[in-house]
Amino acid sequence: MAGVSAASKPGGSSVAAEGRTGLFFCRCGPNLGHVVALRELEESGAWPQAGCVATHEVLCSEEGKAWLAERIRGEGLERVVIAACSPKEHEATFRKVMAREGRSPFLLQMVNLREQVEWAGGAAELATERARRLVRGALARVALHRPLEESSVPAQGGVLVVGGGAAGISAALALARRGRSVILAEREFALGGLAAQLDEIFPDLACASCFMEPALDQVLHHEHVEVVTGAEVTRVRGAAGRFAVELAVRPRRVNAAACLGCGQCAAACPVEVAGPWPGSGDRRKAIHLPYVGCLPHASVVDEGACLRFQGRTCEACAAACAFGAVQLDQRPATRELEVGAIVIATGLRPGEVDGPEGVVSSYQLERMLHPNGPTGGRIVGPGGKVPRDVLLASAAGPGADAELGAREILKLAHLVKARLPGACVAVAGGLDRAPALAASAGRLAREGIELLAASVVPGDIAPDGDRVLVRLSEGSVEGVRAADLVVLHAPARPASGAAALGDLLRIARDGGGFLEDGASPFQPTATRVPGVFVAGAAAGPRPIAQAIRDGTAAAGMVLSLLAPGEPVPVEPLGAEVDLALCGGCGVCASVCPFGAVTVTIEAGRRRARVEPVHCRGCGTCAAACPTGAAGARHFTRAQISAEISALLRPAASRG
Amino acid sequence: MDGGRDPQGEGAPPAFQPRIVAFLCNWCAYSAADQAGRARLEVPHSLLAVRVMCTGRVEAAFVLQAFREGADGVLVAGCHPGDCHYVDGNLRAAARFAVLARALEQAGIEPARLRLEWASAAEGERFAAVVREMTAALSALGPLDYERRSLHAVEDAIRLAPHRLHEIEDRALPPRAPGKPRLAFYWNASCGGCEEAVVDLGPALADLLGKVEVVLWPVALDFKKKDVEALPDGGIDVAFVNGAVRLTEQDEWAQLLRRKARTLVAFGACAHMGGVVGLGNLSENAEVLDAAYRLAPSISNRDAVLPGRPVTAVGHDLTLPVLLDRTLPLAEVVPVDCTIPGCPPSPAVIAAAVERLLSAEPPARGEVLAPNASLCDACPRRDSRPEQIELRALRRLATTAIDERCFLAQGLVCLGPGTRQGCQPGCVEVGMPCRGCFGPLDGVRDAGAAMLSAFASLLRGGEGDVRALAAEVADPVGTFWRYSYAAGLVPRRVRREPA
Repeated sequence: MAGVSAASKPGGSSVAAEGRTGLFFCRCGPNLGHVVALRELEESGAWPQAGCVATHEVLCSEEGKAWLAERIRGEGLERVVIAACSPKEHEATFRKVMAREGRSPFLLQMVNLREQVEWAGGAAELATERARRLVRGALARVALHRPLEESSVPAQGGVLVVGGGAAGISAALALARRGRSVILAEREFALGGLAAQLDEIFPDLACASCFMEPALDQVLHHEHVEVVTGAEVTRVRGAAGRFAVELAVRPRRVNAAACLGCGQCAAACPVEVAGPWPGSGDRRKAIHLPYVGCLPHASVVDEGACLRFQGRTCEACAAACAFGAVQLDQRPATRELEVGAIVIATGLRPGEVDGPEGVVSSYQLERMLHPNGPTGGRIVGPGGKVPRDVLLASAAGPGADAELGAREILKLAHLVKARLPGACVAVAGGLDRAPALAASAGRLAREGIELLAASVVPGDIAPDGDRVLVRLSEGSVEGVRAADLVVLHAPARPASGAAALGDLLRIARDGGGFLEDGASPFQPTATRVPGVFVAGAAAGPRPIAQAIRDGTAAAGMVLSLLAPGEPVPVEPLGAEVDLALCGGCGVCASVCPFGAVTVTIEAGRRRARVEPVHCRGCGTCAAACPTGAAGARHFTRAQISAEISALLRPAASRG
Repeated sequence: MDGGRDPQGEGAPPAFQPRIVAFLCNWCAYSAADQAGRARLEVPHSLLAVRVMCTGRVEAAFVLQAFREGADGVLVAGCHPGDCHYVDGNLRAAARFAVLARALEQAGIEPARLRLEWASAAEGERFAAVVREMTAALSALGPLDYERRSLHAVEDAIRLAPHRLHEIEDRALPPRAPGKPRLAFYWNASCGGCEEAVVDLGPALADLLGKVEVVLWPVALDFKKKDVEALPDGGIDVAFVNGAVRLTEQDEWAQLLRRKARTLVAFGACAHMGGVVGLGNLSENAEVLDAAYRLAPSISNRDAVLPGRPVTAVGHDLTLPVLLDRTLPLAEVVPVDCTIPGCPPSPAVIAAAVERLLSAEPPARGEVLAPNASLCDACPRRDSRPEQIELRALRRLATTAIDERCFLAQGLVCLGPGTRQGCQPGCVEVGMPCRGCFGPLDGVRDAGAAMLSAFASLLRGGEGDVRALAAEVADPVGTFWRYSYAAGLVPRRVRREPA
């Protein structure tokens, strides 16, 4: 901008400081003054902005602090520059002295002469000259300091757990037992996640529903847990202790409290579509129970299938319900939550495989094995026939979950052999050669399962009548093997929506797209965002037992780090917005790492607003604001600019 | 004395100690600097640290200010990506300085002079090594000395000219002679669009001409310089001067009109901020003259005659005006009373400004006569602006399909957020992102730097991603400083000096 109008604006460095300023050098015992010529600096008379200049031996000592307080009082100083050690060491000390004398602690500026000048060595002349510039910068800056307000708000004790699978319910229960109120937000309309889809689980063939159902029952009935199904996190603001979260809640269109899950509605429904689990073969009605025995045991309307949402009129389900539970007019809703911590337990999506009929993923086989699965627990091959030759293999390349995949394949081979003792069951991939798997593989061999050294050639599986032909290779030797059913383990992927949630919370993702935990080994499940934890397979594939341990670990972290009602200080350096200059462009809101800046529409005008409780005072918004509307307290444009000018001003000029 | 550059002794050549302004984040880099001290590592005294909470606070304008005011190098140092105390403020800084480094290169400031580094609180050794390396690199490059090399030449040239006014602020004008308000219109280095903008007032112009007396308007009527010289001081009530100042003759006219006018108005973007003409400051005078008088395909100039050198033609000695060392906004050669912004100013803005200028309560000194509000606030696309703009891909006008939504949200550079209103109906109404001709709001020192900081802050992804996106921003100076380069903090390419 051309100089004329800029120069006429107030707030520039030309504004004179209110009150007198003191400049104090500290010798820090024997630490300061051998390289930097302190006496020369003190006596140079080059500090017209300072009404009082003096040196003390050890300013941070009790005697030194009393001396400083006496100077502040006696000289009537409002602002103080202390040229001593690093502000990281004693800024807090001297701020307290200021406060005790009734001065704003923010009218202090320290010059780091010890760590950053004296101890850097070099020529005394250059060090002294540099010290002079730094002192000049501090004096220019402190003249523009303003007193800032300090306050605090109580921490929220509540916790949001995202995902109602094994990890999520584990975290929710551990927190609820300690009396913490938990919102358990589940994307689907039933809890249990993947664990509820499986029958006998890895590694010791425990019955998943046997331990999942009691836990789900507890969660659903716990006085401190509120389960919100059909819910997705759409927005997160704030930081540990004070998160403001927005949930978008899809309507179930059935009053879950009134629904008994009797299935009369589904029986009356005229529409049947494929189920949600890819390739599982499930069929279901437009209104249905998510799965048999699901919890909450209540029906849900699939808007993609229901005739009413395709512009047709149909109320067959509502008419069939004896309890008036069907509420087709339910609308999508938004829930605003205030919580102190967030546990992400969004789990994973099982890998899918491509291939002709007769090729299924390990997950599809798991579903077949489940008594409530699409085949009622029967293993079927193409054409619904019971397979006589079953080939299992891991399609996973070398990856984080390669061993996990191999173990799952071995488990499934065992289960298939147990159900179909007469069938020929083979496992490809030389799994018995891996030392970690040798013992399990040996047991399978004794059960009569064939362990092939060769691996399946990916993508080379061809149909052959009712059977499939699989190309196998071992080094340069290739062969073809026929089977009725081929089961492949494909790498798992993060749950859909997990990436968006990671972005909302600004949590990094690993190469596989899973959320990164591991902020520190002694803080299991902690992410690099304080107050946000990742439990279970959201952080990468792992056994269900591990996911459950993660959930409890996350709960432990929350309980140890977050005390409800504990004061969370409101950042005094928080940003401010000059509404007269704000054009509502939203750049500030886009760059705020904490969602503390929002654009609200007031009287038809878009304006940025800072939520002081959420702002951490980084100043990123101030640097990004193109009109000068957003400002960073204590790091204002005028203050920093004045400091730069003073640092660079030729030494001959005074002050 | 300038301590770092003092001669070491009688007759010894001055040892060059570079000066590095270092913006250090409170949590990592500042602690690393402390750590280096505690370990008694040698850190050159070139370093002048400015503590900020996060590198995300550092504006492009701070870096430019440092260069302008004497820094030889600028270091911005913060936490390693992933370790930022404020999640990813450091990546906002990375994006900004990746774009700014390219703009600096256009301005002849070597890449080694701006360094972005990550240093954790434990990496004192690394921090010390960075400062030593940077100091060595800057010592090899030599002083930047921006002010002397790039700003002083022009000031020296014109300050000494005989036509210069002095103590213009203190002059006592004779009382105004009775009669209609006397107006003058003049153009300096401009395209003529501002003159057309006056005519675009339409019937309002006829009304205006009925109410005033035009004493100078070379585009429309025949006036001679001597007619103006003959006027008493204060003999013009309002002089509207469009165009930047690039020639000695334009400076002369600016002085003359300043002396004769009670109110001097900078009219249009070139007078206001240097305008597009100001981008000529990225080239040396020799390059400009070569392009205009030797290399342009339409030129036939066998004798290689260049303006500014005396020639004899038809028996007369002729000297054309001399090209100044850089383009200057009007306010840099004479005190300007107020400004009508825009390229060109819109009829609405001109009409409102003229009305105020002729009213009993004229505008305050220094006022820019258009709303002090962001164009974003009046943009017809504002309702399509998402709450969060996160750019993972950039687009360019004319090479990619653009829809009806907010330009920024689509990855186009639009300067609307940082640009003053007044153009309406302007570019955004006809499907063009704002290019900033109305200039910034009051108090923003460097419009281009402010919008560069804003736009680059929207780039998203990891460090590699934001750097790749930053590299895609075409012609950073021409994009962000299209109309304001000559009025910016670094308003001229660094002069190449003979070794």
